[in-house]
Amino acid sequence: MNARPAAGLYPTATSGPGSNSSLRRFFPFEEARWPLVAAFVGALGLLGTVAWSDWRQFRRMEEAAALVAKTHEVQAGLNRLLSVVQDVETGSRGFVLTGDRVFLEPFEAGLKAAVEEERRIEQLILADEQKANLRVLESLIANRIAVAGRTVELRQDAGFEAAQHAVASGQGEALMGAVRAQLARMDAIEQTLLDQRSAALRGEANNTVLLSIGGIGVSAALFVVAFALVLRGNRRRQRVQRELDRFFTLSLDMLCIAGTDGYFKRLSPAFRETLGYTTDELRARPFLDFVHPDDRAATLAEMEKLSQGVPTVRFENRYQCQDGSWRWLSWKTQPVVAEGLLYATARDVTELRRAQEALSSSDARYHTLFSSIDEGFCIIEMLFDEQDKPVDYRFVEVNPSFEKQTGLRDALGKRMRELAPGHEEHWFEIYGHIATTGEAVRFQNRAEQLHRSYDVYAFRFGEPKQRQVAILFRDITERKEAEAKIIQLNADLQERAAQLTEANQELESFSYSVSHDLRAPLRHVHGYVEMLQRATDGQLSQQAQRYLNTITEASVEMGQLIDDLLAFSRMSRTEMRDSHVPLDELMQDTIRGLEMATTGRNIVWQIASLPAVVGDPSLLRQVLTNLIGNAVKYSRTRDPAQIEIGCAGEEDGRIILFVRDNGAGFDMQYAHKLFGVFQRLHRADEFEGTGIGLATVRRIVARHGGRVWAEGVLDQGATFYCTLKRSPSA
Amino acid sequence: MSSLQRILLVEDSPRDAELALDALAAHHLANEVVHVRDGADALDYLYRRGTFSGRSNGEPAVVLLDLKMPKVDGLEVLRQMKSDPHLRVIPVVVMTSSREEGDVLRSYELGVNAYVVKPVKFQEFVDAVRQVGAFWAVINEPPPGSLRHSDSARS
Repeated sequence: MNARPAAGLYPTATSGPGSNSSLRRFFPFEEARWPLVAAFVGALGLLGTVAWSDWRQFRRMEEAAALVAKTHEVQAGLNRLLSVVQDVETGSRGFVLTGDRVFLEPFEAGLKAAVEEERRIEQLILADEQKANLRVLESLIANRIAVAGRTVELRQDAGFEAAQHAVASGQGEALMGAVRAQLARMDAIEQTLLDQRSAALRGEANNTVLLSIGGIGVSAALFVVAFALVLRGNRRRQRVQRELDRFFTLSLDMLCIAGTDGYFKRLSPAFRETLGYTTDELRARPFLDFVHPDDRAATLAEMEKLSQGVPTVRFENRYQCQDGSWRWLSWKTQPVVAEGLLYATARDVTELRRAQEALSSSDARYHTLFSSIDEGFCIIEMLFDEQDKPVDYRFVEVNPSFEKQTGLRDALGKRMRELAPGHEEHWFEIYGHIATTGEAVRFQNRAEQLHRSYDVYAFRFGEPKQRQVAILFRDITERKEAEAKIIQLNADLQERAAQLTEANQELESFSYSVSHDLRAPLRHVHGYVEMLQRATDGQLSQQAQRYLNTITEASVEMGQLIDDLLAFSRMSRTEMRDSHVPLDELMQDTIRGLEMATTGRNIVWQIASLPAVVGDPSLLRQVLTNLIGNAVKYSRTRDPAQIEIGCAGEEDGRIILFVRDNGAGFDMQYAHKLFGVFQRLHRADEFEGTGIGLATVRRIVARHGGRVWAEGVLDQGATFYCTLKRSPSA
Repeated sequence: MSSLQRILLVEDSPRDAELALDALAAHHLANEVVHVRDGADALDYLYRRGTFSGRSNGEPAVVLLDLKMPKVDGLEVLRQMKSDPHLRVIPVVVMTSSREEGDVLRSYELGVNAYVVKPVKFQEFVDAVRQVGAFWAVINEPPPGSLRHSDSARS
């Protein structure tokens, strides 16, 4: 799971250029740094010094040893020189004694060997004194050899005696002694030199040992100090580390260290809490995987800048949560290019952004509202005179509807007095009051110069000292005019209603009078005719009797007319009481009620089943009585008469009731007259009647919301239709 | 013949009165009919006031009352009678030309005993008067205190 090793905790967050950086990495604690460095440098210096001085001491010892060896060699050379000189002497002596030339060979070899040895010694010795001694020795040896040479020559030339004599002189012996002495001197000097050099060599060795022990001791002490310092530093470091760890864990902000390789290295728990992933899950994938696809390009661009060492002050992108939702994170990041690390803090700004978006969208909405509402809207700045009396105002803001609502063009920035000098005083007073007190006011008022009336809502806007007032208003001129019209209409209507009521009352008293006063004389006419007939007791002529009968009939007819007219008028005025009316029952009742007219008639009834309807039962009974009564009356010439009653479907949700007869019928061209008051299509001597029945039918059906009509053919019959509302409970 | 009782006829129209009296007489029901011409007179008679202060004792067995009259109309007479504890027991029959529903309703509300619409046809009118007269003046047992013609005859 943990593919990437976690980086060291908190490497220094700032990276300065230069060599100090690595030093600081090891000694991050400012106060302990220099003593520690001094201790280390001191210890290292000491160790170096010790090593150097040991090396030099060793070299000296080596030199001293070489000198000792050389001294030994010089001493050996001197011995060999002595023996060579003795060989030369022995050879010359042998030749002298014997004259044998065999002895001359060591003599001659000795000559050469002596010279060789002398050259070698000369190269070995250094001291000037010894060089001088060597030169003395060389001349002594040369002399000795020269003496030996002369002796040999004497022996050869003068013979034994002369040579004997020359040897006996002792010259050669003396020289030999001098050579020996010289050699002994030189050897002694060499021995002295040897002693001195050996002593020096021992001294040097002692010094070296002392110096090494001292140097190493001091270094060790310094290292101990340094180690203690490091230990102490480490402890402090660990404590600070723990403190930082606590802060890291506690922080509400999300803290993280990420690599420029695109992976999180370390994350504070706030990440887990905000995004819902475990820390391991977050570290397992490149962090770009969590970024919203739309934000990836911007994130990559930001990463590019970071990789060049430019810190991010504020950058926002969306991260996907474990549950699939997105959170807006705001980043502040410090790159450390050299380490390939990014130190970042992030904050969940989702709610903030949502609030901002809501705010900006509500801003936008309000702006749209402001510019699109039909109401006029403006903000004004009140202008006061020295006495603080409001005298004018200036338009600070107006919406597009303002011009339409006021008719004022380019009002923005202008004063009201400029635009409408005759604007009424009360407008300024009201707005001045609002600006001063902060009271919101709603009112309606007329602006005569603008020829308009307004419905206004005004309230103080902004700070009181700005003395600004916001005004929302609507031109209600048309409404006002309409209202005035309505008021006028209402007044007219009330007048009409009063007139109508009066007319109704007149009609009422008229019909009351008719009821009483018109009938009374008729009754009197009738009564006195009767009494006349009784009084004359059959003495009147037939003609006179017929006249009296006609008077009686006429008065009876007039009585019937009056009754019908009163019934019609009453029917129009009476209140209607709707109820459930079963037409079947009502029909049977009605036919029974017509028994007087049907008795002795041959009538074939054909009555379909009828539904129940809604209506006033007594009024509906009048309808049926009139329709069926008419059918009975106008079919009385038929034998058999046929009367059919039924439903002819529906119209506008109402049933169509019809009553058909095979009677006198009518000419369709007069159909429009059928339902008029006192309109008749038959003469009274054909069919009696006042012409009020169908008018009553039409009035009643109309009051029930239906209509009536009729179809007929003269002498073949007629069909009357009316529509009635079907009862819902049927 | 059974004893006849007094009838009070309140009728402003002299013709109607004549026709009514004729009808009652034709059927021998008019032995004792007191005719007054308007409501005020009717009340004076009932309360024995004015011209009627000295009238004979005893109350009519029935009052035949027209509605539409000058001065005090029939409904007012009816109202006063029916709100008087002494007079309320006297049966009142409204006889009028009006079939107006309002009149009928109002009369019954005030406690009328019967409501008769005068028919236009004379014969029917006579029949109506006769029947009403016969019923109230002969068949109906009046409340105590009503004056019977026979009683006065006997006394």
